[in-house]
Amino acid sequence: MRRVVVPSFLLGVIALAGCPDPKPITQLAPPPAGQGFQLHVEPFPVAAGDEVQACYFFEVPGEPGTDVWVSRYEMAQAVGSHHMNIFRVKTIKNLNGNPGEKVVSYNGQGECFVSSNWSDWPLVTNTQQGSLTDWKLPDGVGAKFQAGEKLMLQTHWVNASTQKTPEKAEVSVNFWTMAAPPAHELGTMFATNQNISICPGDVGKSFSKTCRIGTGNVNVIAANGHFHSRGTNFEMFVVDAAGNEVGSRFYDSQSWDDPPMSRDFSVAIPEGGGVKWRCTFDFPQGGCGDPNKQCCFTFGGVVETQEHCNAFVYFWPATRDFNCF
Amino acid sequence: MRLASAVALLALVAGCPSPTRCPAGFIGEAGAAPEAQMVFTDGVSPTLRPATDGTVIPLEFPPQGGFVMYVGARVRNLDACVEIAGSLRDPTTGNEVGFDSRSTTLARAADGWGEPDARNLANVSNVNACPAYGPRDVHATPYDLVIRVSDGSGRVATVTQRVTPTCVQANAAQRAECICTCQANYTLGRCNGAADAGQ
Repeated sequence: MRRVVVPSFLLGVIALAGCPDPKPITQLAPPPAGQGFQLHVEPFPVAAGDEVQACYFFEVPGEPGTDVWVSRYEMAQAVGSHHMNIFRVKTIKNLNGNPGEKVVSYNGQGECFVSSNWSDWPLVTNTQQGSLTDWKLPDGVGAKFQAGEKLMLQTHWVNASTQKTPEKAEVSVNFWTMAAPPAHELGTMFATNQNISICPGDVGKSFSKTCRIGTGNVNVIAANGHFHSRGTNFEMFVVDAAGNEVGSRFYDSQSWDDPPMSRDFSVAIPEGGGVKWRCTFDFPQGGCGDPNKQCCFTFGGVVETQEHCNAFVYFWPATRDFNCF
Repeated sequence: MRLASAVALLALVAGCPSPTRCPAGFIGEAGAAPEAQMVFTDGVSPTLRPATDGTVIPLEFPPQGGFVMYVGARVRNLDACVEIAGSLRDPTTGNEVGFDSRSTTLARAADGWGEPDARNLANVSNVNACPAYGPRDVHATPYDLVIRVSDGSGRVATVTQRVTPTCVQANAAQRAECICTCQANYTLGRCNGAADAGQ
């Protein structure tokens, strides 16, 4: 394929001229054979006023049982996506499907909204940004899968007052594989603080928790935080074994609807240490979240009436995967 | 507007607490040292019970999954608007096993102390003792629990007790799930995933 190179000075001229942002990348061609595989969610409409959360089941391709190492994730979503998370399927409760099947839930109702269904499913990767998130793992680091392993891609779309989905929902995720096993395996941490309550008049209401990543020195290389529109600040810090914050915070976002996937950095966690995450919320007097809860916003996936305080952290070497509560 | 700003500046220079910092006011005597008494609840009853050395504190299945202790402190000589932080520590190493901190407004008890409103468990520290990813069991094992209560003026009250987090579920299957999740070196999927998750 012919490559078009735009000189950097020309990009600067375009930027100064106030040209519109380039069209969002919402579709991806799959990797060529032998270089990876793609998970794809076919386009579907999101009706006005609806929140749709859909869980799609896939299988890692290849000779069953053989190791598959991934060095890069390309994740593309249409405008309006609230989040996209991929988990490894472990204990089955009330949410399941064969590869190629899906479970679609609407407005907080249905098994794809019931978080206990994936309580022990390790995180694979995630993004909350529209358009393309292209994440290349550091040299010598790879995410390990087994061919035949079942994955669940969860995608959440909102077409209501807080977020809009003007066109059809669509997700593509490319897993770019490695020719040989890397020196280090990627580990993940999915942490959620669900016993939260933000009520009318709350200003600067904050919730903090710590998750231990444990044995050995590990390096955090990517992270993002997730909350809804009452969220004003999402922060993450490294803590040592005694719980003391070490250095400055490594993640800081004020964006609730398009929080960045911070990557291409490296922060060391000392032996026995972990990650502290803190969510801060404001909700003025006069509004109402859940009328059945004194108008407070409590934990839940419905963007319009509930709140979240979830952290996604990626590190190496993988001591193990962590879900923290 | 200018007058209000001048008054605020004067108050700041004079070292007065901001009149708008805590609408719920101050609990106790402004000049007295902050005091704290550790309390806990079982997550069902809003009754706060005292925690002292040797107290068995139940490990409960909370909305966020895993197993937590609902703990806090009764305090005085602080603003009513506070941050309550609970830290569970391994007494053999000093390492922190679980930590949860949250801002809340204390209610005034009849005896003049301030205490968290445990009718809403978001008002007390949900110390995340389990899953026990570390090398030491949590269930039925003594740990140091540190509760730190601080207000916006920098006043701090801290209380530490050696308590015993314990799975006390009446339902045998739930108790087994709790014990499994609170055994050392937990790995995802070990206990059939009864714990909850987010998103």
